[in-house]
Amino acid sequence: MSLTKLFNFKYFKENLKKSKSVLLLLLLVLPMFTVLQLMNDTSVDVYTYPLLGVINMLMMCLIPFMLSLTLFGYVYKRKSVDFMGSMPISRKTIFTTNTIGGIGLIIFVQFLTFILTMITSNFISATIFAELAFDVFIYQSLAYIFLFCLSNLAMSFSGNLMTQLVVTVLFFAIYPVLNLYISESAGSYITFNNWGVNLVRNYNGFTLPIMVIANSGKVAAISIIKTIILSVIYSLIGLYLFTKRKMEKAGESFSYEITHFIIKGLTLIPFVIFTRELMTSADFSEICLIGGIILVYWYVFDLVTAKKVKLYKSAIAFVCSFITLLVFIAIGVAIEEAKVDNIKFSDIDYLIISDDGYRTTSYGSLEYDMNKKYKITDKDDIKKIFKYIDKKNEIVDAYDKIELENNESQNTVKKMYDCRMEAYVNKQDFLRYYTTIDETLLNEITAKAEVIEEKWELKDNAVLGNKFETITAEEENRILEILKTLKPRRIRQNQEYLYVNNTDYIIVHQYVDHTIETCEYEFGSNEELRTLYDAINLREMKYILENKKENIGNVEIESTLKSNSTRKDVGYYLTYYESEEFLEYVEDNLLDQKVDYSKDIIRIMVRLRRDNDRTITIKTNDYDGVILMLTKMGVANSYIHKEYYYDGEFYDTVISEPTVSTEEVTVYYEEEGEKVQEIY
Amino acid sequence: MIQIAGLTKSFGKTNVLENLNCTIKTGCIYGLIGANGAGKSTLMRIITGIYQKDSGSIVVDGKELIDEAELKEKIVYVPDDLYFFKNYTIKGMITFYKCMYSKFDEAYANKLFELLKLDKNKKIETFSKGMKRQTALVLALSTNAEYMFFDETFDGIDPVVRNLIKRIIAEKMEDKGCTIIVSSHNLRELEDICDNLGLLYKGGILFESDVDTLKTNMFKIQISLGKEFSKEDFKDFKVLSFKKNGSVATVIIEGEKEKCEEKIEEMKPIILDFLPLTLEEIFIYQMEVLGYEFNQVI
Repeated sequence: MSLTKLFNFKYFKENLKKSKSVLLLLLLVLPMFTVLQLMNDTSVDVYTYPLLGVINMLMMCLIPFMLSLTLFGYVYKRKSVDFMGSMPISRKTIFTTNTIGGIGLIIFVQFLTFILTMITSNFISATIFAELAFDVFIYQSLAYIFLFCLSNLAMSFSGNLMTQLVVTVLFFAIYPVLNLYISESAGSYITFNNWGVNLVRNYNGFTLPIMVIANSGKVAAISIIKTIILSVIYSLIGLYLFTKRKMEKAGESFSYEITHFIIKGLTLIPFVIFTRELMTSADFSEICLIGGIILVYWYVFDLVTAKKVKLYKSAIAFVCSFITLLVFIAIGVAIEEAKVDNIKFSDIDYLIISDDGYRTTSYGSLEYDMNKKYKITDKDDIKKIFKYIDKKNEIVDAYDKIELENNESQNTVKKMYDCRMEAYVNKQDFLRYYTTIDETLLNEITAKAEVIEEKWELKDNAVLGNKFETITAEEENRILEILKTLKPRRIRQNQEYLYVNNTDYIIVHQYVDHTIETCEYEFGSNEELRTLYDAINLREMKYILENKKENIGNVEIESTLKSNSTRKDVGYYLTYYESEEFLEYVEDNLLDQKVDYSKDIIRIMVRLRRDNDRTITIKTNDYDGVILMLTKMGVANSYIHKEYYYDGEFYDTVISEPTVSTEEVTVYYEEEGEKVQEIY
Repeated sequence: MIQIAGLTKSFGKTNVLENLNCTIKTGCIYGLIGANGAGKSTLMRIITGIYQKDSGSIVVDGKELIDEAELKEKIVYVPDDLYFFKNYTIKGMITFYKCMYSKFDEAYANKLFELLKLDKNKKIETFSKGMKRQTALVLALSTNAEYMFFDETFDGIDPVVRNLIKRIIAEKMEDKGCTIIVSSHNLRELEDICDNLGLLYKGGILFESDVDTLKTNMFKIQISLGKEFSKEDFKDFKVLSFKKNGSVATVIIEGEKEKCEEKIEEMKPIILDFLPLTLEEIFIYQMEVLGYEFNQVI
């Protein structure tokens, strides 16, 4: 086949021209939306960027379908079929030209999005670096192309817009839905929960669009390969169907009776699943009623797609199809159950430990998904691990409240079974593996983390003009030393994968204390560390107030009272002008003070403009001074930006300042238009 | 030349074309006549590659018709149900046709659009039915395709423009030597334009001939012999129709006109007029000879 027969540029150009406005909209909506999203939501960063929001997901489903409809739709219409069919271009060329051209457009759109992302992220100083954006460009392109090829196939399969949409959705969703339902119904989850082990939903087995939607951005190589192969297969089947298509059936739902029947049958699957679920709880009459409703749907499908209903014949076909699907699903579930029941731990070939790169830096916790897996092949080690797992037979969730010295409190969730597991498993066994990991993985983590840090620094430079050093090397070393001596309060969860016969794998949740890079610390628990951070913050605040005042966004004031827990805590969000006045007070009075954490503290949080995540917090014991200053400014008497907390209760509709005596606190607030008095 | 042999096409259980055989010579205007649903459009759609045949063969210039651009460039089709891209003007359609047909003659198209007073910058969807048909015809004629298929071409066009278009079609055929296949259910429409006629009936070509032969082999007379006479008096002739009103009879005779004329003169008629025979009349009597009621066929 010559190149022009494969891709007729002139035809494609004309095809684009005829629907230029729709195409332009389709092609620009994604880049435009991405840029707007980046501009509006500065919290978009290295972690959140690859995750698709609802609108992005919707676009991923809609754009390829609409593109397919725009490029191919008119070829199938009853009115245009004579015109297009008689043109001196073969059906094969029409299909290949539109497919190749469509893929080209998708790549163009994704590339444009990639470029605009890079430009915008630099402009707004977001931490999205090129490698990540390029990865997103690749897998998003493949996902779009896959859906485009799938839509083209559905177009060749069916005849009008509605059926094309139904067929696309069916082809896209039927396998994952069935697969997930069968796995879920196999009961394996409950069985393995007794050991604290969950059967892994292996999304890797699915194509990229499913991965992207279900798996929050993680992409496995097998998915990429599957997506590419399936895209090619769908295109080839689509081409075959298109060249063989009966154009006299243009405008009708389906060219062949058999395709009509198959598609109608496939649409029954959700109903079959629904009925199967009901069968355990509903009685016979309810099942019959539901069966009747589904039969009505079956008739309606015929009416809409074939414009005729054969009452008895169709009813028999319905019963047969329904029972066949029910049996098919039941067999699938039975096979899956047998598979799970038959797992013998002695048969396990190897165990995989995966690790998320994790590092604590001066900016807080930075996390970067390495998606690394390390293999344990030693049979004794595997047996030992399972021996420990086997002993565990209950799961209890408990909440552990950590009280900090300055009355700040934080709830952290600790899963008891994880702690118990920790007791069973000899940590050294795991550490051995992690030690081998350290040589390779930690270097990579460090390298990646440094890249991230470099980006953060660049971002700070953009804000601060590269003059202020946020942290010195000595300070950082000192911080790391202190971190090493601290007992971690919260440990990052790691996961171990257990491979069974090279095909299935299960996952064990396990907490492992191996290196400081995988831990998160509460800095408030160490006086020296806190002092170090206070000093850094004060230095930075001083620099900003002296040199970069214009970078200050909003100022928030919050009190944390040590001496009397019933006293009011206040939180103010200062307006722009209030901030200006208040910061002068801060500059003159608060920058040289040392904080005593045994006394009342007021925290002043300064959020930097254009960077909502970047907050400099300075603390002071000058409670009365700050309140007086705020009162002078008129802030304390205005309740607009004021929030009150009493024993965990929050009032935002307070109509007058609460009266506080040694015995009680009286609050007047509004509820449904009425004045309410509450005394504490 | 297009040679069709044993062509069969069915839509579900309905056979639309059944073992159809037909030859369309190069450089002629071929009229395809048939009642609604006779299969004219289906035949055209199969030849132009829109529909796929169930069986049989279609040979165009010695090559079996396949879905191939080179072969399809020899063919242009103006369907009964016209289609233009949304929001397109004639100019836009010209660009599209130029991309599709390498021999598209833009100057010729412009000349014809001017002649037919069609505004090239106006959106086609604002045109009347007749104007749309003229647009489609001009575009098709400008492709310089060797075979042009026009389905119910003159529908919706006023008589003046219709004659003009017939003239343009005839000129095109003469100038370029192309073959034009025009379908209609109305014989009168094709009378003054076609060289060849094929009658499609129940999925097959019932009757096919060139118009000149048809016309020279049949003639109509109005005759009075000055005495009582009946059809019996014409037993030496192949009489297709005999209608007597008073002493004057209208007779349609099949045979060579000169030879028959001599014989008629020998009957010493007191009135003898040779009347023009319409194509419809020729068909009516041919059908009757073949044992069909004309009204059932067309």
